Amino acid sequence: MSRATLETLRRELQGLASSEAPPGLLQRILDSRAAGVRVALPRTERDHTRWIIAALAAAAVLALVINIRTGERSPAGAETDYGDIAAALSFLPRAAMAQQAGPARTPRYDLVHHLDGSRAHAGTWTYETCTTTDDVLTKCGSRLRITVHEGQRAEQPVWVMIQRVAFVRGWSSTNDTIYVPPDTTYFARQTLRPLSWSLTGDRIHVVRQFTPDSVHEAVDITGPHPRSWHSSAKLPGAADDPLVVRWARFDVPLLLQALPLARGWQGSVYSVGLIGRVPGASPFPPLDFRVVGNERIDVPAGRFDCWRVEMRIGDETVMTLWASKDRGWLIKTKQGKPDWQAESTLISATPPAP
Amino acid sequence: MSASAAGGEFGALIEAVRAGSPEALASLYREYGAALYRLAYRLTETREDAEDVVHDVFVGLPEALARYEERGKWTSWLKRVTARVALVRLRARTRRREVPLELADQAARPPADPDATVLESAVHALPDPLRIVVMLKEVEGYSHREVADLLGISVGASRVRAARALARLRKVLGDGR
Repeated sequence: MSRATLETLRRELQGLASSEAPPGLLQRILDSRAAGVRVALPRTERDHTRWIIAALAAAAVLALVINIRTGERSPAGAETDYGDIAAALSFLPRAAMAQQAGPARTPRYDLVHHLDGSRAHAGTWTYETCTTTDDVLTKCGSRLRITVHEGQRAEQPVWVMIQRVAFVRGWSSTNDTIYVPPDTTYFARQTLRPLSWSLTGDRIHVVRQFTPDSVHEAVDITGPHPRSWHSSAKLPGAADDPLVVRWARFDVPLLLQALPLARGWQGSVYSVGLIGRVPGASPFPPLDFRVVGNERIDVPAGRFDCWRVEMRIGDETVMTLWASKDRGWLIKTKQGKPDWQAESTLISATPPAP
Repeated sequence: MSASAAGGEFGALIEAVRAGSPEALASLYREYGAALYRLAYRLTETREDAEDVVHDVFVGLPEALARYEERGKWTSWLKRVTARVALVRLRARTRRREVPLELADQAARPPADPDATVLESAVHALPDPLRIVVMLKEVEGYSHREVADLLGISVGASRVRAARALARLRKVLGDGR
């Protein structure tokens, strides 16, 4: 649209007729006041409540990591926008960031035992996330790359999974990209039980070490305000049950490759969030998986016949996952509320899709 | 004008409204009521809703002023409050799936100005998320940052919606405009 045309349209819009206030409105207002009617007007400050609640624990740390990593702060007046962080990371459901306060949840389905980890395999998968607000596409371009390879740890065969996230910062006028420090997880190759998880930024180091029955967490922050905390907790479930590690995302891609997905299948797996610094919270909510259908979908990486899997925490559907029937690859995820959705799709994979 | 910057007479008027003076409230209404009504009407598109919005704003104003911190322009604050109330009402109406009678009757209304009617119809036909942004940005003169804050969306979303709204309007109105 040319500038002249645009200006003409704007002038015409500004010239649109409007209605005039009815003559009796002032008296109605005064009568209401006199009759004791009171109206609580909405606050005009930007409401971050939902994001603050959602981002209770991990996102706060994540924001810290990001700012430390880039050496930047958001511009004055642009409050830390958890919406941008959450929207950029499709594997960052709000419920994943927040610890689930209150009593420990019980699994909805039978816990998954004796997983066959040999069904998983090495490779690299790259996803792109797009977000939509009120049915209007608002942002694409955020990338998550997951690399899985075989390794050895303490003479034990393991899967090493490295996840890297890069997302476009919404508040920036230059559309610059934020690189979250990669996190690395070691899984026992046969059971997919995590053995350790770590993330190292310029000034933060987080490690979670797993033993058969417990997890030990250490968070160390350096810089002008150094602080550390170390915590331990007993893990729920059996010693060789799979666990989903939560940080900024649910680490489900490797798990999906090994789950016995089939029509009508359902099962629960405990997840592990941050265990320290969240008093009164339950860090191990179970994730309840249920196959709700099958679908052939096209994504940039190819066409896949998929199981559609619902993932829930408690009563809330956290995410819908599409996992390929042949290899259990995570092909697509979708999450959100009626006015906000985020969708991630597989854009490339190595080895390539068959 | 900020209340503090205005000081003197205007500051005293605000204090009187805070204290519950009907005369002071009436003075504020005479000063700002018409502009706020137009804003509410543009957002809700019905006289009844606009009237209710302005009614609620002024009825709630004395108590709301207790938390008005006198930062920034007073008129901007008042318009933001009005827009918020209008949006709340609009969302409630959307949830109830009500169709305003004025819109339902629009086809039967004789067009006073053919061009204006075409534009009005095109604006009415926009989905609410697009229409509201274009009204706030292009008609009321808000910045994208202000629109984003009002609607709880990102600045990028505000830009996208405004651009889409203008593109749709132009398409409806024809390439010659």
